[in-house]
Amino acid sequence: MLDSFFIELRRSPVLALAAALILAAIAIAVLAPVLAPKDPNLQNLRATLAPPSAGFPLGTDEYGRDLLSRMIFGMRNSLIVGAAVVLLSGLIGAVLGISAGYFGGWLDMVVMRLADIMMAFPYLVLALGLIAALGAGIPSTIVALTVAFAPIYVRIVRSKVLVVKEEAYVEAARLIGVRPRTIAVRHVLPNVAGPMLVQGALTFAFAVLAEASLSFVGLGVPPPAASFGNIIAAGRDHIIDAPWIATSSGVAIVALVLSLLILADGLRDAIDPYQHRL
Amino acid sequence: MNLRYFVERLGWAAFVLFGSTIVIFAILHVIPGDPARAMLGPEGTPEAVAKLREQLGLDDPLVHQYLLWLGRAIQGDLGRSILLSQSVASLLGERLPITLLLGLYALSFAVLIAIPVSVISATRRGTAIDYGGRFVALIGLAMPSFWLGLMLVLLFGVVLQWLPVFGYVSPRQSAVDHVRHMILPAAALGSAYAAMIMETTRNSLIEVLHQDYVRTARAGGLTETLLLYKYAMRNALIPTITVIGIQIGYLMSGALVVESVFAIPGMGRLLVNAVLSRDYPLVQGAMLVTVLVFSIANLCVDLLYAVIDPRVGKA
Amino acid sequence: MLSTPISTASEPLLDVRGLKTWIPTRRGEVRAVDGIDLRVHAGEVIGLVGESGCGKTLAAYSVLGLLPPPARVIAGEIRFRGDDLCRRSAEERRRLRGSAMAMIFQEPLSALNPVFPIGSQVGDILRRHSTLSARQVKVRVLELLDHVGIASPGHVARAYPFQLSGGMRQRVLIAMAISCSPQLLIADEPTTALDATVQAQILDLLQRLVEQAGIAMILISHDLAVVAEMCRRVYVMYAGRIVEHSEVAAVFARPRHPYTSALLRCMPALKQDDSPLETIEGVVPALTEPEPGCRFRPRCRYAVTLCSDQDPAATELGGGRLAACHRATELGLPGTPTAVGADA
Repeated sequence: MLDSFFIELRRSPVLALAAALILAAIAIAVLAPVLAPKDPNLQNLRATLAPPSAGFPLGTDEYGRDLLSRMIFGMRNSLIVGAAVVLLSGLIGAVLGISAGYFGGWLDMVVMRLADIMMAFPYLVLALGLIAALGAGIPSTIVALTVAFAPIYVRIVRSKVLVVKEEAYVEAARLIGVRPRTIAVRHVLPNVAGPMLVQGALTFAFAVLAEASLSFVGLGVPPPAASFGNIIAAGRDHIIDAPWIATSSGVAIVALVLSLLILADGLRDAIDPYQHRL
Repeated sequence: MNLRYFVERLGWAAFVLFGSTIVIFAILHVIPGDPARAMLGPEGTPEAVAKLREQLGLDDPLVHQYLLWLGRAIQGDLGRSILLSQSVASLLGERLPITLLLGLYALSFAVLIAIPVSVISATRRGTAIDYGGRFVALIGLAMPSFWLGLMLVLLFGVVLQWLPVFGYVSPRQSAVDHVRHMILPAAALGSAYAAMIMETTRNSLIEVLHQDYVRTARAGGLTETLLLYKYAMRNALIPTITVIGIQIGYLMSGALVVESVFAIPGMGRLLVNAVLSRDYPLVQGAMLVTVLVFSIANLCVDLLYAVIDPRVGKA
Repeated sequence: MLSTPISTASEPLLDVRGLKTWIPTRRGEVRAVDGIDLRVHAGEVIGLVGESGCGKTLAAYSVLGLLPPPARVIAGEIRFRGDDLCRRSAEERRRLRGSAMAMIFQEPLSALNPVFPIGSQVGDILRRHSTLSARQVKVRVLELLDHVGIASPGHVARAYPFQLSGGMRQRVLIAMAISCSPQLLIADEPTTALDATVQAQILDLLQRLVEQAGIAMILISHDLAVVAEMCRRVYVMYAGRIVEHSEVAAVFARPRHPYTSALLRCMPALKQDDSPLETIEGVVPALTEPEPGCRFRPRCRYAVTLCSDQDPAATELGGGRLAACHRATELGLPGTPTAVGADA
């Protein structure tokens, strides 16, 4: 599957560009303390709302903080939240989805009805409810978004497991007496890995957007820590006199999310090269 | 449409709604930590906490608390907001219609943009127009609605000064001003939604145009217009409606945030403020009402299926 | 019953000459239809037989102007009532479709739109080609449904396709095809997807309808038994070419092309003894870069050196017979008893 992804990568320059941007974003997040020209929280009251200049490449906010440095750390927080949500909801999705799909019966029934109920909430409303209970902060944001996004994973994994379960080699393994748990890990998991990767890229994109939304309304990454969402929130109050504050962070989110969406598309093509290309 | 299908969908909606009440209750009561303590914050004295606990009935057994809350909610009593010391039901009654209007405008905006664009894209599949349209749609999907809103404010409100930038005017006050105030929020909220509808409709239209029944219609000499809008579109809309239904949740999520951008006094801002101040009765009430709206929307979508596709709900 | 003469002095209704319909693909042009000649006279029923993939359906689509892109006619003439359709605009051809020429398809299950009632779908074609009022259209739809042997036309007109059986749906499609009294009807494997008992009913219906209305019909089939029952003349198609053309009886008694002979041996209905049913070894060749020589050579048990060197041209064998085989006259190919067709 990785091979065919690399083939896709060579075939499509857009996908290659998206992958490069994602790698760059990861590098920025990891190297944030090294890359940031200034302390993201350092206030400079003599340079508030300064437009982009040599000293402040992307300008400053209302406290005179360097926006470029804040964006670099904002990228870090976005990726931390996104990665954590993808990993945790993926883990929950894999465990519950495989169990429900493979073992069926009452377990399947309970898990799927629970997923249905969770999906009856608009995802941000569910997240807000959890944040109300847990209090705002990065860990609560991660928990809230994990709970909000896990049900989709469960559904996708389960539906794939139901297909794999009927395959001849799984049937054969069952007949020769391989333990169900071994079958689930050895045969079923590799088959759901592809769809999970695709969903992972999508979830990452939507988790970044959701984190930004929560931070924008003050319920995600708590100030003074930087986040694209709270930078844009600060920019809203100065949209007339300092439009650069909101603009640059938004462009960064769009680039990141767009790359993730394109990556998801590329992964989908890679795991299913024979599908009817539209 | 047959009655059995209707009853079945209604029963499903009722089940999901009931399940969601348990989730809402559990989120705020089972999670470790004392809601009363959380609400009062660090300044709350032990006496004040104890008083609030009693006031909220937090010392009763959980099942008792839940049944009490559910019983009252069914009768329309959602408790009193701690923050605004007003009945939650009446607060929601004021704010919900504004959010619903916003959602409705955004939905109409999205459908009106997405359907024609997807027809153009599907009938010119593989051309520059098709690729261009899909790329713009992808960007629309990648843009946070609140940021798009700000950019629209910057362009149409600040630079061009065509439209008001903030605030809300009720349609009863002035229909014209109401519309002028809602254009930008609806566009900001509807864009990502339009992108989702567009991609689905384009793909399903392409698939439908390859179906045998379209060939039959062509063999009968029907015009391409009739073919596209009657023979293909109705079939292509079936997946579109699924997406419209599922993504209403996405739309409602977006509305919560877009309201903050444009200072629209809808339920989204109410809920955000309730969460910020940990006003539990208000949070619970707002969540419940949101799920109710979402369930009703999904029920409508299910019924719409049966109208569009005669096979739905029949043996 | 088969009173139409095999060749008449008058101009044929449909006269296809040198038709080539190619499909560009990444691996080159697929020569799906590669230079065929075909004539149909008014009121005549002819057969077009061959394995799937031999180009029968694409030839029919070419005549109707229904080719799915990127397939297109690259050479040849399609004269209908003396007029070359390839020179007509898309709109002019669209006006002919459904009125002067019509088609029925193999899959009655998917050929009707699932979300509209039957009456509406039949009515749309009537409305397109006539100036009937809404009321008249309704009446005409019921008449048509009755005409194709549907017992309760009112009920069926209101029904949706999924509520009807396969045979009923094919009747509806036939009603749509004859609704505007076409002169030419192309029936592409009209009974293949149906149960055996229903097949006979549908064939009887078709036969009765075209005879009554004097409609010329091209019956496309892979089944020689069906053709034997319905047609007087038959064209045998292989790999984009017409390899044999003759009267049905003559073809059955004495095929002149090894492919025709092989097809005949594959017919279960015509088998006299209990020898095992034969199949033709091999598959239809890829049509991108045909090898030199006869296209049937790789599967032919009578092939000689000449066959791999030279592509055999269709040769007149007298009495309107044509065969595209180097050894057409010298081989005494086995046929089948000529009794078929008499019971129709």
